[in-house]
Amino acid sequence: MKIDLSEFRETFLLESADHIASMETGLLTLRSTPNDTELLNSIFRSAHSIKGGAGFHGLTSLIHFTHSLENLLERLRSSEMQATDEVIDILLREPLIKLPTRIDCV
Amino acid sequence: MRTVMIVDDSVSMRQMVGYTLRQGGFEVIEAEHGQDALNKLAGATVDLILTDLNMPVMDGITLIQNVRKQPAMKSKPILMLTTEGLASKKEQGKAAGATGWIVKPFDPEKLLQTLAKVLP
Repeated sequence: MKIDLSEFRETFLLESADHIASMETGLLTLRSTPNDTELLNSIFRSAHSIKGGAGFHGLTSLIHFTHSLENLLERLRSSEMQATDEVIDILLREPLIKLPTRIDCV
Repeated sequence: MRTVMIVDDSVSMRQMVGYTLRQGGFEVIEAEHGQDALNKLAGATVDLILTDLNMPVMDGITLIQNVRKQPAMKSKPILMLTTEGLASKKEQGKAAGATGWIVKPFDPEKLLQTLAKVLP
């Protein structure tokens, strides 16, 4: 029996778009509450969720990208790095601009 | 028919795992996070739980700890569905009472084979 999961790709892409919007809103909120652990966890979960789904659909570059994003967010979660305005700006300017492009291209 | 509970905050993940399990002849109960799973377990007979770790409201490790306190679920298989290769996470899960783990992404057929192995 061969089970084909490709029909769920569309749901994954729609869900990812929601995650990106949540991450963006979360990062903007993080500016005023940089120590909000639950907010950081929520942003991390969004990146993690995209990575998990990307794996099922063979979206290799998206997996690598979200993995890097996770690593950076993990450093914020563990307080190894502070969620300064500069760091938040980098997250907002770079990954969140690239991520929808990567998803649109799949 | 055997019943598997899938616990994952991702809709697409629940859909994919649910579809795979139904193709394998299982009945499926879906839960969005640990607390949702505990609520749904209260009125159901479940043969196996497949749970994600990173979830809002209640994470997978806390869910496993809570499930193992329930007499009916003490010896039922609980598998963690995780993208994390971290040994520490796996150890945490095992210490909480997980039977094992499956790394995402997984091959659907292999998931069914794994379930067949762990179900008594």
